[in-house]
Amino acid sequence: MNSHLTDEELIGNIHRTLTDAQREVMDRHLTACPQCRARLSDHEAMQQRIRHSLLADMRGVQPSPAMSFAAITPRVKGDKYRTFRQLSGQLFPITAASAALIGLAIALVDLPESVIRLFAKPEPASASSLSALACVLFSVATVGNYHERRFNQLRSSLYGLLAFIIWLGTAVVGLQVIAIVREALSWLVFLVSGKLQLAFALGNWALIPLGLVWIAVVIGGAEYQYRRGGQRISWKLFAWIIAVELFILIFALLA
Amino acid sequence: MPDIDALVQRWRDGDERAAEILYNHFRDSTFRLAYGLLGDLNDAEEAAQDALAYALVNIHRYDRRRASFSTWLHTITVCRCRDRYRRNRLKKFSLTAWIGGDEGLSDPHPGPEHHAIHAETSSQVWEAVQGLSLPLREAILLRYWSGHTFREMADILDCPVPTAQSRVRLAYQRLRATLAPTELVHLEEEESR
Ligand SMILES: [Zn+2]
Repeated sequence: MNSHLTDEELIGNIHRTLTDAQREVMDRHLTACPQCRARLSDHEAMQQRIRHSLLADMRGVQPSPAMSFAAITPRVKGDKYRTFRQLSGQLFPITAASAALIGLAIALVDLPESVIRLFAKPEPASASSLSALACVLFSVATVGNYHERRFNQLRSSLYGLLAFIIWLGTAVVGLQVIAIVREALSWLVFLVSGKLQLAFALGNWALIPLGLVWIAVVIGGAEYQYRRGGQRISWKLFAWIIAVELFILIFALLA
Repeated sequence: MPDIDALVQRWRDGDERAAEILYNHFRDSTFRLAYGLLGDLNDAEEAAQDALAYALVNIHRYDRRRASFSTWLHTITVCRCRDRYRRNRLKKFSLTAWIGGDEGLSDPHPGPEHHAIHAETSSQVWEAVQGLSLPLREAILLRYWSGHTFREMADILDCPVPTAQSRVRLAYQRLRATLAPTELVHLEEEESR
């Protein structure tokens, strides 16, 4: 006979978290092995004990009479903004989607220039206020979603599309951010060394690590969003990326 | 059992009586979940009251295609309890660490209106559950007490389904490790009988 079932397998069994294939293997072993059957029923008894005890304990506690509807009535009834909230709740998906779409359109305007800048001589230039505006629009859509706390099921619906738009938009803006960082780096080298040739050469070489960072963030971000799309944490990741991009863009705009 | 979605619709249309029925229907279970998570009757009452008020005020956010009302309410309750738990821990850390002694731990405003009827629970299982970390306690209560599916748990806890599953398994293992010794004694007693 093959080796006995592990505790993990038995625990997975009582919690019904095994795959069909795992279950089949287990069932076959269990029919042949009284020892593992006994262990399984021990686990089942323990599970029952926890469940029953929790139910009984919970039934034994009651909130005080102070916890009543009357106590929250002022908060619930006195909500002057209720209509407004209701309306904003309904309008939010459309607002967020249009903000993200407009942001993407604006970001795309800057795309050709960003690509040219990436391969041009790294001369310090300002950022485009259009890209910064795009970032602001993305952040509106992102922060709103974070606040709304979307559920997992939404990954296929409008919110999946919204996440895709924001992902694409941040990738496009990211190109300009990389161009800015590259120019800033070579400018810094020029300031420190005073050698223009060295600064240009370094700016060109810097393109490789910066490009790798961009690819990593874009691909890694896509994978992350795909797996955790719709969860709060995915909007948090967007928020961080947008914040970093916006920070660099504004810094370049002011410098 | 009243038709929850019909009540929600009535409350959305402005019927305050519907809000009250909803409140009374979910009052005890919300309180109990909060109590299980926080382990303190007064904290639980405040967190549950907060959660119910938030749900009723923000009723337009509830979407029954996404989740049942109780799943949505549990999501809010877990959120409130996490906030409160964090705040309490912060208070405990800062005050006891800086002032020293236990003064920091006692409630500075012991409201007379917050005294739950029953004494605090103390079964072995309860004690063991309270000994778990908050994420594991959330997992075990939602699974064992509320009877949520792993899918619903993932929504409530805002985590992937496999994470919800592994938290339940881990919580069970911890509880078993704490409870098993007495379990063995129990079995021996039965055998000697
Ligand atoms: Zn075996």
